[in-house]
Amino acid sequence: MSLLWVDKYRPKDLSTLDYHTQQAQELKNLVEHGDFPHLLVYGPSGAGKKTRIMCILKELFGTGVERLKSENITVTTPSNKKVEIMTINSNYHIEINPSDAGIYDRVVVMDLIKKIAQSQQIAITNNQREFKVVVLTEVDNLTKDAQHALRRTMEKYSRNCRLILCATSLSPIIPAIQSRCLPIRVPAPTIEEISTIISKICKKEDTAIPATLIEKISKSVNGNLRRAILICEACKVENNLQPNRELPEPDWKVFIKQTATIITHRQSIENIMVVREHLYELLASGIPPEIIFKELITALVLKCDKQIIPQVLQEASTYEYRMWQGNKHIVHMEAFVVKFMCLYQRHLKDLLKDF
Amino acid sequence: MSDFPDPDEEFELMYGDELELLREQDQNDDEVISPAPKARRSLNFGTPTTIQLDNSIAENLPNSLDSSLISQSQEIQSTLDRLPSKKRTIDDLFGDINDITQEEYNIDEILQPKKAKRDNKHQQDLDLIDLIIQKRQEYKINNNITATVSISHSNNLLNHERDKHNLSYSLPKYPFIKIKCFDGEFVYVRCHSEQFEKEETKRILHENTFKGILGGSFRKIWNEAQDLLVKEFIKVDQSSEELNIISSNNQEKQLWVDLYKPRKYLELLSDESTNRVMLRWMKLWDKVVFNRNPKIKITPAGQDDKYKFVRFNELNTTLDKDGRPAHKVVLLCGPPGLGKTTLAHMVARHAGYNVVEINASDDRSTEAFRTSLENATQMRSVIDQQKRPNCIVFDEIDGAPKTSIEFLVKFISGNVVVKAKKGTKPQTILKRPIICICNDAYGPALRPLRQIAFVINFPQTSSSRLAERLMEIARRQQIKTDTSTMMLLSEKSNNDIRSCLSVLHFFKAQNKPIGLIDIYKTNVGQKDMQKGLFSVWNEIFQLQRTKKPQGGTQAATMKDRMQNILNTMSSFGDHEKVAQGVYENFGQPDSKIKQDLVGTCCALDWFCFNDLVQKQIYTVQNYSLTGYLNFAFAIWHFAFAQPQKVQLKYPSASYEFRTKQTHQKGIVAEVLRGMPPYIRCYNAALPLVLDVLPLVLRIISPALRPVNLHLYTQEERANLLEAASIMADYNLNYIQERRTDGVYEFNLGKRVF
Repeated sequence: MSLLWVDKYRPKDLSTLDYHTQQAQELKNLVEHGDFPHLLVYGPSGAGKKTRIMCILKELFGTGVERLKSENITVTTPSNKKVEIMTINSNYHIEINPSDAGIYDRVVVMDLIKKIAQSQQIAITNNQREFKVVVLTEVDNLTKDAQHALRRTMEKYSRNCRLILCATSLSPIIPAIQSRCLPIRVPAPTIEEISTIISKICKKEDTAIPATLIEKISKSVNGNLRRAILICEACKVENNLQPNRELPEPDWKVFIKQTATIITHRQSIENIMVVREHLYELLASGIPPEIIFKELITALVLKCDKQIIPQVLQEASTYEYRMWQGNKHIVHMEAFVVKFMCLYQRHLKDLLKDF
Repeated sequence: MSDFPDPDEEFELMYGDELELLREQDQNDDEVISPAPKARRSLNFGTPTTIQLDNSIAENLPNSLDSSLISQSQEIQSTLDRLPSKKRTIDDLFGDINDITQEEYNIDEILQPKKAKRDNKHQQDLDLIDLIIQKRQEYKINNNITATVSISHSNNLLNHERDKHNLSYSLPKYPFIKIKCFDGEFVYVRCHSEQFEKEETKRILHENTFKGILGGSFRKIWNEAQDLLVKEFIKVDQSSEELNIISSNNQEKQLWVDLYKPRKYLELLSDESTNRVMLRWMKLWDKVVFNRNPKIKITPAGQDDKYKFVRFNELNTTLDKDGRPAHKVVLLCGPPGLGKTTLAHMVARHAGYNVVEINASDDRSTEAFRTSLENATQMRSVIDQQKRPNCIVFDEIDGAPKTSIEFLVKFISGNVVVKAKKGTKPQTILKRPIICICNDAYGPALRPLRQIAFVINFPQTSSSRLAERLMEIARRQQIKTDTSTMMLLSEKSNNDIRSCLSVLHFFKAQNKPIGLIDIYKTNVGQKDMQKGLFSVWNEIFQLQRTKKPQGGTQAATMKDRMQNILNTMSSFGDHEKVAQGVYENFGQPDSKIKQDLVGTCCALDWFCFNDLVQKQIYTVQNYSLTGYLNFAFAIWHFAFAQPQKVQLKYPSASYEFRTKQTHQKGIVAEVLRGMPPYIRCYNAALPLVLDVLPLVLRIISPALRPVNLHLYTQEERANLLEAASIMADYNLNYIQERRTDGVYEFNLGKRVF
């Protein structure tokens, strides 16, 4: 079982967690009594939310939760459409990502949770609890309908089931659900924490890695531990652990940077078309528009004059806001690009005028 | 006469003629020798006379007596004109008939006691006289002349000349009748032969007609006029036959469309080449239907027709082995109101068929279709005396259910399974022409039909031709208008004959002349026209030149342009598609649309606006916002419009993008699905795409030498194994693919970014 480092060195117990140990201890205390309220775990990507959830479950039910199996469940919508959804479950818990069902997530939430929650555990053996745990991932992607369906279910069947919700951001979750759960924030690890973990892994892998490179990696990943470990492994696979080497970057990031270069290089209609192609390509690859937008702005701001940065940022925020209100993301992104081109061109002209 | 005349003078001027005549009369009374002595003599003759009929005459001319009498009365008659001129002056110059009859009566009175035995004959004479009177009456009515004295004078002169030949105071040499005047004098009246008399009567009758101021004989002019009238009547008759004007009360009840429907092939307004192609196709059926060879040149079946390149929209004149044309069915398609149905009916009738029409108002289920098809193709009308073969016209076929059309296709290609009881019967083949008519040839239901049918795209009627016909109808309906107005009308209605006629009918009801302004202003006859997507895009991307009312073109004003776009968009409706088209067409290098950055920036802002509005409409179902969508199109028009023609493409990028996106999503889902659960529970789609997969791809491609596996070092082998197991974990696979050039290539099965 030779795995990626990310999976290989993932902590399995609350006691082995590397950072936020205080929180881990508190969680352990919480679970110790064999019962806990609904949980809402939230935090940025790569901070270890899922790891923590699995640790809690293990703490609660023992090693039995590690015997996982995948199962496809079909739910029927009111319009008789069959929606298939994939679950990962053990004897003690079930994990679903309701947003996989798209707009039918409400049906998934209602039917599935009800089905699970209605069946009561009869024999309570050593590790068995009188409730099952339902883990819902990507709760922030749930539609409002589904969330409203969820809030009643949570109360009604709390005897038989506990919910652990997992989300990256709290804001899309309605207050009714927030108030029914115990929110647990999992912040991203600090640079030092990441560095420590990387060096620990490298030591276990018998890889000599310069401290400067570790620091460089830790700084570049923006608190995403998963990415840090992956980059580290990529570096190792490439047999290039020089401290001054370029860090491997995901292709889409490179692509966005190229796009930014095109934008600042020349402001013309032809270039708009090229940019449009790039944006289409990015969106088609499944990169979320807000991430494209963010990366693009980051790249653009680096390239333009300090004087116009506030204006650019203001425009960017306007267009990003509109993008969320609208439907066709490409249009808004392109509109921003052209707006930026206009600003940039005008600024250049103003500069030339002075000479 | 510049001076005002003296009252006396005036009187004299007015009645001068009469006074003169009175004076003349006085003179005649006084003197024997008159200024017009012949006239006086005739006067003597004409005044009430005692006609003495000699026995001798009776003896001499016993046979010709009545004829002489006729001549006599004729003579009298002829002199009567003159008679009143003396006695009653002007009044009688006009030929008062009352006194003529009176005169005749007098004669009768005189004759009766003496010649009672000739009463019967007399009656005949009277009849004759009546006839003459009648003739004269006719003459008078026809003529209604105001005879002048001079004319009567000329008449008198004529009469005098004749009298000289026929009357004598002394004993003449010719056969005569002696008549004693009341003053004791004898007058010898010539007796002519019967033949002569007849001729003379004719001559007199002829001469009696008025040759007057018009310079020719009245009869001649009358006849000419009569001829003209007849000619005109015939002309009107003919032309009314042409367009078949039905009597006026009937007209009121009929729609003008029916009223002025073409009745002959030559009257068709539609494009000539289309008509001809259609007719030629109909004629191709002659072989199988009428068993006679069509006149058009036909390439026999089986001969290199496979290699012959048949142009689209060109009739394939080859006949198959059954003698049927290559295309068994014609599909006429075109916008409404151009006369497709009319053409189909006309051509079918012209080629000698009986038209069986099945249209949208009929039941068109498959079963009904089958019945009507079989009825029409295998039977013939018994009642119809002409026994014409049937020709089936499927009107508005685009509305028929898909199964019916499929059945029709099967029927045409001869694949229909005949019912069980006819099992032994050989397969029937279609032997009658079928015409299908539709508006939209590209409807999905018509797809199978389009493949086997000979598709004729109905072109637009030329505006001038339509205007000409409209003018004719307007003339027939007594509507005052002019050709340019009709041109405008036909252009406005997009050459829709039906709507043009409706508009004309509408104006007829108002009963006033139609001018250009009326047509400009009117909202009648404007259709919500179904413009194609491309024409809408063209309108946005191309500057339109409007026609000035005075003629010529000018660039449209901003207001007009905006109004035009708003109108077009509100009538078109599919905002999203049009917007997508605009979005993908502007800025394309080959579309020749030029624009500046600022304008584009503004235009893109409006794209954003439209997107927001659209989303609102869809999510909240607030359709009252739809009206605001139109304005963006006006903005885009101002930003992108070009005077030159632009090349437009159908927007496909968005569709391609969406397909790609779905594909990509599918890949990620597949990757996730294939993962073992212990990996999967820590992975989600988004981080997988953003972080894991791009880096994993690097991790699983360690630097390996391209040598045999056995030559790898321990470390290398470990690396390879590791990479393979990671791939297995993350459900990734290399797939061997054969490239077009024959080189094998290993691709990562899932194209992850």
